[in-house]
Amino acid sequence: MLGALTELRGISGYEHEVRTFITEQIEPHCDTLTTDSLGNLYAHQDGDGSHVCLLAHMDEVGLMVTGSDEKNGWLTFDTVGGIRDSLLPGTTVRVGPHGHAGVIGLPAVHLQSSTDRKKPLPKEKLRIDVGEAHPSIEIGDMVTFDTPFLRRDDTIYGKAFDDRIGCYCLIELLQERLGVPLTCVFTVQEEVGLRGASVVRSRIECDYAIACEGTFALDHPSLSEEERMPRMGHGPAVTIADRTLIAHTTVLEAIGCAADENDIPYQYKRPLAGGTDAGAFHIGGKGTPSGVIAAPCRYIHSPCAMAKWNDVIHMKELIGATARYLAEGV
Amino acid sequence: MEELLRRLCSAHGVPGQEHEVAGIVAEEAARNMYETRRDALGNVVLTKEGTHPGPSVMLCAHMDEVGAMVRYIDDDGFLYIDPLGSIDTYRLLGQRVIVGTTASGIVEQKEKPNDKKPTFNDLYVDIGASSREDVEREGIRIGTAITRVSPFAPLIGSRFISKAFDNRSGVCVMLEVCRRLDQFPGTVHAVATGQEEVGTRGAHVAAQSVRPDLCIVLDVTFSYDTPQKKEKKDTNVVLGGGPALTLKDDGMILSAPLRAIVEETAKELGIPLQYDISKGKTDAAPVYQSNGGVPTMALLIPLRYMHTGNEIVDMCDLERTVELICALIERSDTITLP
Repeated sequence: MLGALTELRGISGYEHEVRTFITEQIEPHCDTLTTDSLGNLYAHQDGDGSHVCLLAHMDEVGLMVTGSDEKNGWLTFDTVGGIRDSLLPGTTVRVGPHGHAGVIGLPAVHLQSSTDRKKPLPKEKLRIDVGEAHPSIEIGDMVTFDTPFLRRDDTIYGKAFDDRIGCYCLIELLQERLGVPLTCVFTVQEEVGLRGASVVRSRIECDYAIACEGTFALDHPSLSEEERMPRMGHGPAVTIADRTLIAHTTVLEAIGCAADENDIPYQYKRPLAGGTDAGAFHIGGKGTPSGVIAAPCRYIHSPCAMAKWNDVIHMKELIGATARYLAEGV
Repeated sequence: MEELLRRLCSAHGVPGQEHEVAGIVAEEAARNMYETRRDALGNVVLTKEGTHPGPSVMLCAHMDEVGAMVRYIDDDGFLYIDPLGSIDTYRLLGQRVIVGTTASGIVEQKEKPNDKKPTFNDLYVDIGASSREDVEREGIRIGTAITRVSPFAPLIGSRFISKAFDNRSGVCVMLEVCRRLDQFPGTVHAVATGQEEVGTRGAHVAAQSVRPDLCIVLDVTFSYDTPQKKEKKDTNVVLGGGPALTLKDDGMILSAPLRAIVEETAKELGIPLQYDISKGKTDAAPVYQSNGGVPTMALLIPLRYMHTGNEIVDMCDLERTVELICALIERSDTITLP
């Protein structure tokens, strides 16, 4: 199912395909299932104990069509969410609701001087080539990376790991039914500034919240030893503090105890980098003790990410165990 | 007030780990018959319910100070760090720090000192350990707070030097106001907020739970009455020149009627008033946009060398701020709120 989830297309604001898929998966398992005007999906299960809210965002980073050359089908575009311009040339993409195939092409290398070859091109100079003009392609159409999901042994490859991995964990946990008062919120527009979660926080109150994420793994040879955290394959990454949240001590302790009791490996995420829905959510209402549990993925916010299947499974288990631990009272 | 300020400044409290300061605040509150509650963001909310109908006033001063946290411990026992709040690496380099609650250390840089400004990746903390195990035995791990060490000391006249005057001087003024308003019959909430330096998060939540009718935020502002160069657009706040009333910053604009009330009150009391137009935000920003809008003002204590380990304030400014706020609260029920 994770593979299917990652291959769904949904940049920020265009999450309906993802929402429909998730709804089908969880509908029989929910006591109530609702949406709001921004498109956030709220799945609630009743139970005994403290009320825990789990957040995962449905949107992925991508591009948006900003204009087209009507005759030839060259599309100008802008990025939605954080993507490096230098990653774009050569990328294959899908455009618009019908998923027209396209490529972000450059003139042949043969014509390029050696100095030009070293210069990165800004996105304003790039075009998406869809071969010929399609009347159905319009300004505002979403563009997603065209990357099939692949699994080889424990390694998985694909797009949108941030945050379909979170969505996957929440779907599985709803299907398992933890037996605690649980609201899983599948949010929208996280990648453009935690906008979905900013609405969620005024619509539900809970005792604890955990954002479930696909985050970066920094175990890359270009970085120095002390910067290489979290690492892929070393268990889910737990946030101590990021740009938007200082994790609450109670939640951190619960994660630690849940991991120890259930023999689940975990590591810490590099402090103060990145931000999640928990940042927007925890300052709602009277304030909610919150934390983040994430699978470390190499190359997120690019056409193809890489992660370990075992990290995803451990992440799901750690979220479930932590939710139970929090619900039963710390 | 001096003794209280000394205690507050000597306590450590980076964003998210304000409990030591919160303890002092709660102690003082109990002495002044305020009820105390803490919330998920670390705020300490002090409340004294009034017997007299009238607007409920919220005072707001943040407890946290800029600092850092441990990011990584290497095999030889050196600590790598990341900032909590806006902190200049130049101003941290060579400083004595406390890691956690007991371990002393010094901030050093990997490269030889040169013209290039170090980033946080270039800094490390030496606590005298020889191995990672040494460090872990001290109870230090990833996320442990790092706070600057700088003793509170008097300077010439009524001026003082210490770390964390931003914003323990605001907290001190707030607690002193609570003490002096002993006989005030209205409802007063005094909130020592958490997590201001990482984005005014505590105040955001405090505003939603307290739901005040009027809010006065206490914080500090840059005083550039030194050889240090200032940017032309900055207002000219001087140390010892009295509280500075924020007219505009990146998070709020003061309403004209509130400005008039403050000016009038200050004039009657003979308190000199300065004005602040500056970059950045205070706790006023989230409060004034909460609950459909709350009339909010920020009174700032002039401060030299903000976010360094050695800030300077003038006790006269604190004293005048206390007087002004007491007077404003005492007449709060005559204020027709804009």
